[in-house]
Amino acid sequence: MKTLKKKAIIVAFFTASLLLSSLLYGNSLKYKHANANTLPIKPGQVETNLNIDQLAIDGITLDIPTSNAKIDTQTAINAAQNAFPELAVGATDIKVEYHLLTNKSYQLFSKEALDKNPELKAKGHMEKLPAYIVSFRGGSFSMSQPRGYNSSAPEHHEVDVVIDASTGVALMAFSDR
Amino acid sequence: MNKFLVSIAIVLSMLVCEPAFATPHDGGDNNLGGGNSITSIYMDDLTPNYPNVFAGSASSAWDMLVDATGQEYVQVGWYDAVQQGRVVDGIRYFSEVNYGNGNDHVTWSTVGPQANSIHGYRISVSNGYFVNYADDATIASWPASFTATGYQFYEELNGTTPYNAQFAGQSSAHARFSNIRIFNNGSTYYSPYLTFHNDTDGSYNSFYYTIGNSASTIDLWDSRY
Repeated sequence: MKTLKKKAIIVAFFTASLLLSSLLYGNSLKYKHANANTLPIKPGQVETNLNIDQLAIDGITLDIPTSNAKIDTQTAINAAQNAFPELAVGATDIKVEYHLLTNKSYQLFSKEALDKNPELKAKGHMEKLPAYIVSFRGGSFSMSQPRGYNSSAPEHHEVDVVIDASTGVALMAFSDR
Repeated sequence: MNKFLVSIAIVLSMLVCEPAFATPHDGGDNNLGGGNSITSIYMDDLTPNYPNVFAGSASSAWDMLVDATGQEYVQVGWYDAVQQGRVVDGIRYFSEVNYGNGNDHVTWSTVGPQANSIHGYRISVSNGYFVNYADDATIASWPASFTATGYQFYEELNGTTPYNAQFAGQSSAHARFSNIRIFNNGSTYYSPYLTFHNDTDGSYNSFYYTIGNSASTIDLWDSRY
């Protein structure tokens, strides 16, 4: 009985220590987690955490990059947060991917985006554009709905921001989950 | 006893049948029902000053095509989640499609419509896709997997605390929808029939809205401002 009591005290002590550590170092753990989830960026290698089927509905296709990005992933994350702070708020996880992105259905680029990328300006849309997709996950927000709508509000938990990997300029954002 | 039960059933059925709306709207809509196929919708929007929007809320204005049930829809317009004091103060063009069962897609631009100038919002069905335009530039294109029989032109508030946001327009400077039209079953209908709705704090003036008149306008504003 005494042995069981001692074991219970030891388990409780370690549990409390872990909880205290996460409270004290929670921010640094979060920072490390964000970096640990940055995918390796190498020419010729593509991995995606995105849903390819949902991207297809959005008219977005991804191809394997043929060269390194001109900006680093942290620059892409900063650009995404600065461009869409209201959509990044509440995120508990950030993932970054580098692809050649095609989306012929989007034309609303900023002047800065077009001035800094002559090829984008000439085409007017993204076609195998070297781009980062910065995904902010874990937040929660509901979007617009019609009057008379009586289904569950459309909830979103991820926002994906497209950053021009040559210029570091944010191009657009989308969400499909 | 039977009369009592019948009375209870009537009251309960009234409660169930009353349409529930989750977010406040200010504007108008109509649903033509089966046998109709709306393949284009357009409106011009003029917002003199974009609305006040505080944390946990969003304000928007858009036109929308809906299916016969009103539960699948596609829309395009402007959206403001939180004012950020950037180039256009956080206002963005946006477009959204909802196919039901949680299959909802949204696109946002980094840029948005300048205040106090007219901006056009259009959805057209083309080659089996809902193509969404803001100021004649495409923002999104999604499979047209439902038939649109209804149309809506609204300002909307949403978020966890929607009334932290203002409907666009104020008493001294109204927002205005104009050039409203739909293309249904092969014909263009200017200023089609609308049932107007203004939820709490939403105000509108439809005095200059005449069915069939392409010059019709609807003024909208938030009565708190």
